[in-house]
Amino acid sequence: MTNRTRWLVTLAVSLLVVLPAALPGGADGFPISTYPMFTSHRGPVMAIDTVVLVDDGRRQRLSPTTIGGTDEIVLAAVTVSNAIHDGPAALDRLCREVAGRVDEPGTIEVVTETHDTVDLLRADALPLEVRVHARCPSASP
Amino acid sequence: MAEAPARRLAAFRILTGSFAVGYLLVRLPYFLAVTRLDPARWDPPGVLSLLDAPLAPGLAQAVLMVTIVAGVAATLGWRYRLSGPVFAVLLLGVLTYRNSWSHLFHADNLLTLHVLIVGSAPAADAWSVDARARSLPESPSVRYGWPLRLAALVTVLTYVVTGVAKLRYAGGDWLTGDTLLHQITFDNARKKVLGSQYSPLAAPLADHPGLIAPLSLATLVVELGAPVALLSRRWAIAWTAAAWPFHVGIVALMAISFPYPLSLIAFAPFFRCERPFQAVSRRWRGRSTAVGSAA
Repeated sequence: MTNRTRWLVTLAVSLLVVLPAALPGGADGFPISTYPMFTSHRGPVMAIDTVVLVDDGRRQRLSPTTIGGTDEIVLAAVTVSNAIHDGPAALDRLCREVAGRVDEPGTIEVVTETHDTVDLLRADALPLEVRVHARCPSASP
Repeated sequence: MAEAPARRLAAFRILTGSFAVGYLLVRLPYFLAVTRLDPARWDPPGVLSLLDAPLAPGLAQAVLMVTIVAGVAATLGWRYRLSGPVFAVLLLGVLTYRNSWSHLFHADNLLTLHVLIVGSAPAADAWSVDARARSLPESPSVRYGWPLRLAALVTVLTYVVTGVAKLRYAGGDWLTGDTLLHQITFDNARKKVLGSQYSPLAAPLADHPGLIAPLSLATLVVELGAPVALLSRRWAIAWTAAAWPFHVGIVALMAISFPYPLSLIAFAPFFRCERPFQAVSRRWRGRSTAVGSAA
């Protein structure tokens, strides 16, 4: 490889890495990314989508693995949000999928909880609002 | 064009290869779980974007295993002309597959790019199975220096792009600290709601919002200031000494880990990364000689 080729490859790789971020409307991808993490506008009160197990009025939180099929927390969160966005059929599918991973009796609920995030972290504050999108029985009798 | 000894590039091959294989093995249960996800969630980016549906679980798991085997071969420098590029392409495929389920993670990008660079370079001319029968090229060469310089440049550019994204998407709110504060509290609250580990430092930090603006500014300085690492080894040390604690801070405040930079291997192309290997090798040889003399 000549030095000229090396310079050209260097230029091409640099442009490949930088261009998605430099161009307006550049989309995130892999492994070339716009690295938009941590830049979303959030507020002190936020809606958080999740799935819970309800048994005799007691609400039990489920793990990312139970909700999303892997231990990745963000993947679990996105899976729930996408199902809510996609509507009843997707919600029903997610609810049954989660129910199949729960080995306790009760009802699975796909919910959006609205929290004051600081109060939740500081004092385990209850949600300001809970909206139930779907319900289904857990697989366990 | 920078020159470097063959051993420096070989050391980077061993570091990136060991890290990648170790990462796949440590997270094997997760990577296997990914192969069993609901096909309805399939939304692939990059090189897999033409695939309409995920692979059958058995085939995806086979590809994962072949990737690990290829990774071991590339790390050892066995038939590297084949194993180097094959491992790089397979790793790109496996990590793209991981990112194909409606969410893009950003922790694997730099590792993938570095392995692609090393896999396309003559990184097994020293300290490899292939090189055992050959004499070591003694003089430093641009053949070995350029891939390292390219890897260093890619490291720098990814940090700069990350910094630009903060200004582009969050703007002035990033500098006031509002975006970062709410991101930290939201992310930890979401972890708590979704039954995962979260940072115990998030709530105390929210009680002291005055600390956030300096942290936001420091983040931007590290990210946008990354190009100084290309100026000289001293600047590279200074920048790495700032960038690594920045990643430790993300773990402490958000329980989010970027394992590749945390391992320091992401910063290895800036340095004489063959030296720790040489030191270990000298010590090992010294011990062998001592044992031989005693016998």
